[in-house]
Amino acid sequence: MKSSALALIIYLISTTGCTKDYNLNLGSPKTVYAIDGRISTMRGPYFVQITKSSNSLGRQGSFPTGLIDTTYAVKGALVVISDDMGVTDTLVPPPDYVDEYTYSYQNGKLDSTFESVSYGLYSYSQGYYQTTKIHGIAGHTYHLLIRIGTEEFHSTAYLPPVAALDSVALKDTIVDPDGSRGKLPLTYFKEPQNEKNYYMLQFMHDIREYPYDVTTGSFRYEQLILPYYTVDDKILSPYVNGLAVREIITSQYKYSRGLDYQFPPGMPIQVLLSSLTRDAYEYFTVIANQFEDDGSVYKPVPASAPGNISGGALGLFWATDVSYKLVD
Amino acid sequence: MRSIALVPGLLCCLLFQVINVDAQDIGKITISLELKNATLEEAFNKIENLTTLKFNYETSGIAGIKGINYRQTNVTVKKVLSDLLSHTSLQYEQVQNYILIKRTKTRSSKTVTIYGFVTAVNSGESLIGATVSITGDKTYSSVTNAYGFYSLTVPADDYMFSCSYVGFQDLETPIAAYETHRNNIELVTKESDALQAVMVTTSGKKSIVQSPITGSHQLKISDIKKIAMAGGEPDVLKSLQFLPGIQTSNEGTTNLSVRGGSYDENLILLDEAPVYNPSHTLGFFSAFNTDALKDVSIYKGVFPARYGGRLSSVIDIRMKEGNSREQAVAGGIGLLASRLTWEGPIKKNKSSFILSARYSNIGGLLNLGNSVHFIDARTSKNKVSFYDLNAKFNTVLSAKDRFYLSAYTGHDDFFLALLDNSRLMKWGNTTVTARWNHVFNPELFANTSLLYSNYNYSYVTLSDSRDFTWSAYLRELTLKTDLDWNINTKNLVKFGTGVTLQDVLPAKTEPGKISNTKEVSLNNRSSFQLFAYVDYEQKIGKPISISYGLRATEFAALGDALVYRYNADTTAVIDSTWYPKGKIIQSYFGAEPKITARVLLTSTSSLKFAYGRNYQFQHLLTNSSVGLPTDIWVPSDTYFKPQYSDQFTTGAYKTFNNNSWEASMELYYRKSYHIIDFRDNADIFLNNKIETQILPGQAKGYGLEFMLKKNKGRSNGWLSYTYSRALRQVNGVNNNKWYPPTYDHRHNFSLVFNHEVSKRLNFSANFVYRSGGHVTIPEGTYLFRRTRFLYYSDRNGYMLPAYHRLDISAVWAEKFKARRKWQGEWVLSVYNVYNRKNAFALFVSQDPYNLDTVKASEVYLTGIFPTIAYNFKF
Repeated sequence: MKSSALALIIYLISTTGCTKDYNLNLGSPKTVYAIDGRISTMRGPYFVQITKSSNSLGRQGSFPTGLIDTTYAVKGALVVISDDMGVTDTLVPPPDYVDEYTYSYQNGKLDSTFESVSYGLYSYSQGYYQTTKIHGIAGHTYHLLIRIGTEEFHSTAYLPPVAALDSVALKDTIVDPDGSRGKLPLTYFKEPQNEKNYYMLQFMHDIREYPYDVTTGSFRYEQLILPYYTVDDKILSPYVNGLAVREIITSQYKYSRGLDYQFPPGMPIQVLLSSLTRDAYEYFTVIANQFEDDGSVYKPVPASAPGNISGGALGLFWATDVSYKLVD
Repeated sequence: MRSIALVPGLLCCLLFQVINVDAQDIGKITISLELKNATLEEAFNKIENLTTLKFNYETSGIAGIKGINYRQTNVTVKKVLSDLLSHTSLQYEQVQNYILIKRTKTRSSKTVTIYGFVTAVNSGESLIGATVSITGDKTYSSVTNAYGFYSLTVPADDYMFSCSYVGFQDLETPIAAYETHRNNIELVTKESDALQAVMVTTSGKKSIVQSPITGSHQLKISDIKKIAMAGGEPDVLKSLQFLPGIQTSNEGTTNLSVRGGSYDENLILLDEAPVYNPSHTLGFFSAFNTDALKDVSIYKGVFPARYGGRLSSVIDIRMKEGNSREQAVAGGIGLLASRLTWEGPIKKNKSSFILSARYSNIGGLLNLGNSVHFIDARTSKNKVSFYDLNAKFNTVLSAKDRFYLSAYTGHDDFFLALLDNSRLMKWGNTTVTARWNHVFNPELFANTSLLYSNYNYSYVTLSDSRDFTWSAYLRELTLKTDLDWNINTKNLVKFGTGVTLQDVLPAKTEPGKISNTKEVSLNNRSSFQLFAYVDYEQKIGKPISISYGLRATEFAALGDALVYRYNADTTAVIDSTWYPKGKIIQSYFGAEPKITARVLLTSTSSLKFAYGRNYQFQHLLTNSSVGLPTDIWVPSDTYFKPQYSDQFTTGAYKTFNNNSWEASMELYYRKSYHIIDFRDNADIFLNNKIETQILPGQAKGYGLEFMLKKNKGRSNGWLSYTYSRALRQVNGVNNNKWYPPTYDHRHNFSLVFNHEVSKRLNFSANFVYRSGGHVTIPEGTYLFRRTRFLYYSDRNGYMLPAYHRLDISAVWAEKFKARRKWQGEWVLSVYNVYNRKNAFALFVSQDPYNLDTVKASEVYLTGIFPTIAYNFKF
């Protein structure tokens, strides 16, 4: 074989990395609605966000300082969630402040304070609506109805029961294929073999809203990670003996990988095991692929994430049973 | 009265007496005669000079007799004449001082067969496609087959026998064809360049105008070695991309799209055994070490009936047998990989072997570069390496029998953190072929082969607490026999039959050490195929030659297997049936007729028309345009119906200046049925209901291919232009509308140029221009959980910018020293001379610092890329 080392090294790096910006004009497609709705067995309220699609690639320019574009929000829609036990809940715009418990963890003890909390990012100006009375209960089915002007959208989501987490531990283990070590949260639970299950595994650094359906509590470095790690039970063993919770990280973030996996002692994290239906599993798996797309020709042709909302809307309506534990 | 009659009578007698008195008895006249490569006419002139005899003959009647070597002293003229005229159809009669030369027999209606093997004198390698001609009043010619065998049946007579092959000196010798006999030929190489001499060149002189076949090309291994390549490594599959109608789906890779077909539609054979994954390092290198190869032929579209099993093309690669005259070693050393080939006789002129090995460890270099911070490869634990081994043994068992045993094995390890840091992939091919040639009689040649192919592939997930090993394999065994029957020079029949057994494991997972996974395995898929073919080549009058054939295959998918039954749109299972081992689950019959007609307009130009149908009973489930080694091959079953295609081709061909130049133009149209594609976002991981993820459809394509080639002279090369369109339509994809595949390129222009500057210096250049391929871009964007995502509508609706580049290379051979056995050469090449950053891919993805924004980015492969290398042989 005849070649210089330099030549092929450059070539191979180029195979995956030499990129430059491309000026792409998406034309003017018809506007479609995007719906994001979730019901869970955690404490309510639950939220539905409605936005419009666009042909814009998004905000160009410098790193934002917390402002999220509000031009895509759809306000004034009729949003109704009903369950199979006769409860019908018409959603309302979220208030600016709500009185609820906030949690903290000190010296191995969980403590809470009742106070006024700002919803901040989950505001009506960004297209959010919240429930008022409905509860998420495992084994039941929920129905979403949205009416915007003359258009109507429906979706149905079953809330599958989840296997209960036996325990969670932070263990020192190999974090990267190159052998570097660090701490990872590991989960232990019994996996029912006689049924088909899909799971999502997540962890949160901020435990202030510990039992509430995740609202203001955020995933650390949320701008750089996608906290939707999905698992299919196809090859899971009957007892899961330390399945690590992973995050989907952008290729840029890989440069400074491991930042999110830093767990200072005494600082607790919350690990959540959520159940998914097949629709929800497929949706999150596809958006994770979009997230990881780096132009490699070894990846499949990209396609839209399949939603479960009829009427031609994008997005997902899902109902999930969550088992969660604290670990420090 | 009587006295008047007497006078003329007496006069005649007197004259006669006078003549008689001078007439000489040729049985008594002695001469000394020396002839060197003389014609019969020259011989007669010499005898006339030495005697008072005069020869009387028809010039045309003796013209064919030349090349006479004769040396005798003091022999009678009678003996000389007997010697000279033996083995000819002439006889002499002495009338006075005149020797009259006449034909002895009328042209006999008896026919004889001349047959044999054509080999290279230096190495004993058989020459494939050499032209053999017997010339007299008419010319009869043929071409040697894949084993160097030829057979010509001609009326009994004297002829000139000639044999030619590009790169070798033409052979011409008189032949007396009065009895059927074997005539083995050895040709001498033309070039004196030592390094070239042992390389067996290919492509006989039978011109593209004559043969009744369309869409075929042969590439000389020596030409492949001269074409400048990325990384400086000569590559069989990448060289084919410079030919018309053949393109790659992505730059730098070896996956071929032939006439708009996808890369799984090419049958790649190494010594007749199919190779399922012909590439190393994810398509960057092909799996063939050119040092071990003899010949590469590609048949596009309508291929001869003896080949079958794929829709688009057949790439027939033949290994060298090994020098049966002397030992030889050749190789190359490089930082990226090294090669070594050793060949030689086991029993001189009877048996020989060749062993060839190649090893590469690019990962080691990347790791070294990364650890000294020269480059950023993300980690110092990359693993990118491969090896391949070729071995061949052959022996002559008797005058009629020859036996060959060839084996190939190659293996890749691939973990490149830059590309996919979650898994280590491993894959490898092994092929073993055993072949037996038998010459039943001079007209009937048979080859029986037993072929075995094993392709296994796997990956290991790394550092994930769900770590497991996924693996799959494909094993195939074929027994077949091929016969060439030269009935007479107007009719040639090739026929054969065979059976193939195949066993596929589509997927299996096994837990790793610290695993939370269990072992899961999909059902094996077994199948068998029984096939037979007939290929008949017939000459009708002088200008028309028709080749028609039929290949018939009976395919059956076998148990043991659990077979599901699905609803109408294959989205759900409604039933399942268990089939025990060996029971037929589903069978299909495929008949593949082929016909090609060649009409000679003049002796150097022709028109051809062809139609053919091809079947393919296996399907590659690949979800990317280039393909991963972990893509799965599955045989046809109840839901995967066999794919088939119809192709129509027509072409015009002309050679100029005694074959120095050749030009061809071909038009084709093809339609394919039962092609498959995946649903959007298909789930193919360990899916035992994979049929729910597949959608069947159809494809069509048409195009124009033009090629102009210069074969002879110090400057040579070719120019090719292709205009093509390929489209597919699958219900469930792209809103059921026709869409182009990623490898559809409208225009494709290639120029390959080679110039021998001096005996030691050789210069090559190639230029490629290609219209952009197709990619899928989003229709719009939307927000979900404060991250911007994309939604799509059209598949492959966007065309990338055009691609073009220029490569050059120079080969400089060390001074040839007669007594020194070691010969070396330096190769300097520059890929992409004017540094154009051609678009390799286009994608839209989230801005890593700002997830509510997406960015469109273009990936380019490489700019200017120089390399230097050293080759040796001894």
